[in-house]
Amino acid sequence: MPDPMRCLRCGYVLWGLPAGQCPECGRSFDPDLPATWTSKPPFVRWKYWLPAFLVAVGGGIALYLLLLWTAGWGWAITIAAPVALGCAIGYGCRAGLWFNFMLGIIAITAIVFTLFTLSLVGTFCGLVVGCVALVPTLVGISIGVILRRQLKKSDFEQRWYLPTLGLGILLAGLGLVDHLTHRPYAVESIVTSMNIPAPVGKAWNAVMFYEEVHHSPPWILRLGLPKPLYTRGSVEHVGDSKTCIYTKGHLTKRVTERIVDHRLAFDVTEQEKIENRSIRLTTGSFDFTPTGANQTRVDLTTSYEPKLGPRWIWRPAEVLATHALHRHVLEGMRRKATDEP
Amino acid sequence: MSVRISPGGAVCCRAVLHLPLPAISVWGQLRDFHRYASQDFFHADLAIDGHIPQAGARLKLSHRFLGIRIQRLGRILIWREGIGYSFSDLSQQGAKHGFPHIFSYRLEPTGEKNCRLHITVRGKWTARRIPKWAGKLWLRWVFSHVVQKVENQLLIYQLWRREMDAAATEAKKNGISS
Repeated sequence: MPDPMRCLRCGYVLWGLPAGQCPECGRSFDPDLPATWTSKPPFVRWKYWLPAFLVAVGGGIALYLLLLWTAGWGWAITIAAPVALGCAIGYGCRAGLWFNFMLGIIAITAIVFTLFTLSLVGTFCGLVVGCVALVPTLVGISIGVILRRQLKKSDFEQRWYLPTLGLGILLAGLGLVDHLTHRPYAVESIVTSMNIPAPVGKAWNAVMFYEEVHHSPPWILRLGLPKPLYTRGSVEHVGDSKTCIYTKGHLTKRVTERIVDHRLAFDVTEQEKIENRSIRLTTGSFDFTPTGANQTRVDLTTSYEPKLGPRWIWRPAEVLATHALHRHVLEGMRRKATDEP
Repeated sequence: MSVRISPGGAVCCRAVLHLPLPAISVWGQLRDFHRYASQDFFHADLAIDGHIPQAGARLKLSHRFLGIRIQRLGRILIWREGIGYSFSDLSQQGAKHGFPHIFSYRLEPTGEKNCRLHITVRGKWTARRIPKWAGKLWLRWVFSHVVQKVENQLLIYQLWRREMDAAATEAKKNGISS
């Protein structure tokens, strides 16, 4: 679309008019003298969304950090913060609803990326945070757009900043409430079972931890967990400890119960930089039940103290990741038990 | 805003925008024919025969929908300086196919700094297999989008004017004080 010739002073479109004066402001122009007119549009669209978008992203990052510092991962940061971010975008970015939705997705991506860069979330957690934040952000954008449209024709003088400022203050208050009302979450356990086509003795001998599994882990573990480098220690007797060093951090397990061919239980005594902002691993166990002459059911249990809330949002993601880890370990055991003579 | 389809298939969509701008300023913007004839989101491109918009000029309108491009034809039917213009948007298959319609803008001054902008679409609903109520819903959606876009464009222009006027007043003040 060509940009038409416009009056330098008032932006009147001069196309098709003979040389003379602008019909609106009277400024002289001559179509043959480009210095007397402009083809630049009087308004540039990015001015109507980019500044507010940058403020929303910057404010969003500051708000996430503030809430993480004051309240941790609770409903204020998981739900209220993205709603407020969306409101700020919907209210401040004077663009269409779909464009604002796109800006919301970009803003969430930018915030998650910043949290990841600051090592405040891991890859998997970051992905979950981003996905969880999407719906509240879109809801917030819709609220912001409706509010903007309602206030568009009002004479309220502070309308350009007060609603956004009010939202920020409200959110900070919610964070404080979240912090004051927060109670530690109860320990949760996740159990995964697998039938191994081997006698119980062989299944017992195949017992291994995540770091000892040789086959390639599923994408969720590759994405979410650091890579194990080496292990030291043993699990031969009760009281023995085994430490696994990962590319980032380490994990130490101490055997608390060892009944050959029946049960191996352990406590997690050290957990350094292994998702320790999301969960605190407490105990784990392998239980062996013979289900036939050549069949053994292995129940792998992990217990942990969750740190992320609200639980109804985070629990499904934790269950998904833990089952993936369990299945990977049990598959490693199955291969070892069936492949070895 | 009203959208009507008569039993015979005659379509009439009307909307009136009350604008806090002088009619001459609004006309100064509406003269950007390419911009204001392309507010319908199906209009991907528009070419005017002879490049200058004037009554009688032929138009080639490119429509785009779900990746499909359709070329349509039209003509600027009315061009009245300071008042408004109308143009037709017809299918290449003829005037009885593909929703032939005429799009019009008409300005009505209501004061020194206010005016009304009438936006009208008149045409013929030719998709007989689609029930009228569905057609009406569809037209209401598209037309409300067009009206919203035109209003937004003009309000953005108003903001720009306000900023320009404020800057000019400031410059004048500084000039006087120095």
